[in-house]
Amino acid sequence: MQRLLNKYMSTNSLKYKTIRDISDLIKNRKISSTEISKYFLKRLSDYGYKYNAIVTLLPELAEELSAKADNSKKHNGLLHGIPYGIKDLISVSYLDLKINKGYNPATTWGATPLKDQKFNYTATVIKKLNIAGAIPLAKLSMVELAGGMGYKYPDASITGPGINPWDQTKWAGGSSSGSGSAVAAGLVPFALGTETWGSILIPSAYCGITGLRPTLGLVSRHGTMALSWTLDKIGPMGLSADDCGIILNAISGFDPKDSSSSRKKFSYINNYNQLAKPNIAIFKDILTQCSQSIKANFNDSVNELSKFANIYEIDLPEYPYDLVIQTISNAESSSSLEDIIDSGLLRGLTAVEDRYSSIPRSLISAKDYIKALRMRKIILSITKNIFKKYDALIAPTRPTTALPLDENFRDSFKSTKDPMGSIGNLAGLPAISLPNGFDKKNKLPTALQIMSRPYSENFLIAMGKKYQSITNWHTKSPEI
Amino acid sequence: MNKKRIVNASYEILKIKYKNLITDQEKDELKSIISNSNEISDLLREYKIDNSIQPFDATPFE
Repeated sequence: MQRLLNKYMSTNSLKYKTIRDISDLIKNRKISSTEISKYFLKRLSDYGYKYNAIVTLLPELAEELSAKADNSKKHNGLLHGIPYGIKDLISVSYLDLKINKGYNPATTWGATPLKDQKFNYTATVIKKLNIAGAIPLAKLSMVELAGGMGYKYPDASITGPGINPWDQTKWAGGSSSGSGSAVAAGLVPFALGTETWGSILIPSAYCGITGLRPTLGLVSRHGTMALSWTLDKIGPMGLSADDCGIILNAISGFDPKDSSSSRKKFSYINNYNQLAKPNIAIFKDILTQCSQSIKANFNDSVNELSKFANIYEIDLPEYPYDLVIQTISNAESSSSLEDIIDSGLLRGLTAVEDRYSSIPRSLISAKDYIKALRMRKIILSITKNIFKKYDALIAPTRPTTALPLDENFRDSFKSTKDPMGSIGNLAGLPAISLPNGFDKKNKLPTALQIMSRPYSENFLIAMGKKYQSITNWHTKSPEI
Repeated sequence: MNKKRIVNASYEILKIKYKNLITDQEKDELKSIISNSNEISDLLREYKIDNSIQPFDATPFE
């Protein structure tokens, strides 16, 4: 066994292996979960801080759970013994997990004033992954308070700016920065991210990995920081669509502790019988705001997809999608983070603008919030009409590649509308982001997003797998 | 002119309500955020919606 471990350690051949590949090694006892956890903990320790990807390593928890996985007579499935990282707004309590180490790891929400925040309960997603036998290795970095306070620059975090493994002068994206960079750098096989409006798909696109935003309510948010109750989702960030399916299978399911939790069950179907030739729609003018390489790579993706799908261009009904989601998320965060705002803790946040930008949100009237909620209903009916005719919507995940670390990204985002992001999050729709090439000039990854009806994750994953079976962009990795 | 007065008045309210959380250097930025928020409010007002569309699907206790 030691000889085999040395082989894997010395050749680095464990990194960028899919969940199925690592699972085979564990199941066939070619390597133990303890050894795999040590391997990835070392990678996290050696490289994670370079990318500002780590808040806290969890070696004690990893040691205990991987030993348990190794000693278990029962193999719990594909995630048995597989290590992963956790965005640091998802709580882990050693007390709750009965790990007796005399202390409890902090859950910082990426914010300096909360560096010692500890919970006496563990989030439902972590408990579900424990049942599946997965091994948590680290709490990963994020933009402070999930980016909900109006930050303008990537450095708005307790750990500094999330650095992109493809180019250290570029941002990993937010708010799930550490989840994106850790997976892209091969420091963990997969990670958990969260999204209110873009926080899974954007870092997935910038870091060249596969990210899945599930249907609203499919994954319990109990034990996770609330930014916006009607918009927050937890989802997998990994190396392939198949990996995302395996992870979602473990973390989804009804939870009475999250009152928005859906009773619909997701079971990952590996050989999902996809529609003969699905109808895919693209909003006209969606490429007008995109850079040249994003346009070119998207057009290549459309050519690939047209081999197994019908592609149509459709008009996007005129409606203030971005303003509706902005009003709802600002009003809800004003309430969900009321204690942090009112107590003055926000004055200790890293980004200067995060210390005051949320204060005027208390002036958003109940009338405007309710109007936005009613307009959201109109958006739901617009969305329903689209999906009566079409099975999926596609677009570039982002109009540009990863932005420079010192750039005010609000300036870049202000001029671009995000109808896919605002419609998708308002309607609670699932979407998957798939790497689809590189920018010819700056060599950074570009990405394609596919969005579909609520609870259509099996269809989306099947589409992603089909695309990834005829392209190899998802297998590319940065030089570390 | 009215819009500017509304922004100024709103800022003064915030200054009273959050007196320990706002510094004078942040005045212009806060006014800009308030103004932007008011513009969004005005834009939302332009959209007329039938009253049959409710904000929540209220249900009785079970």
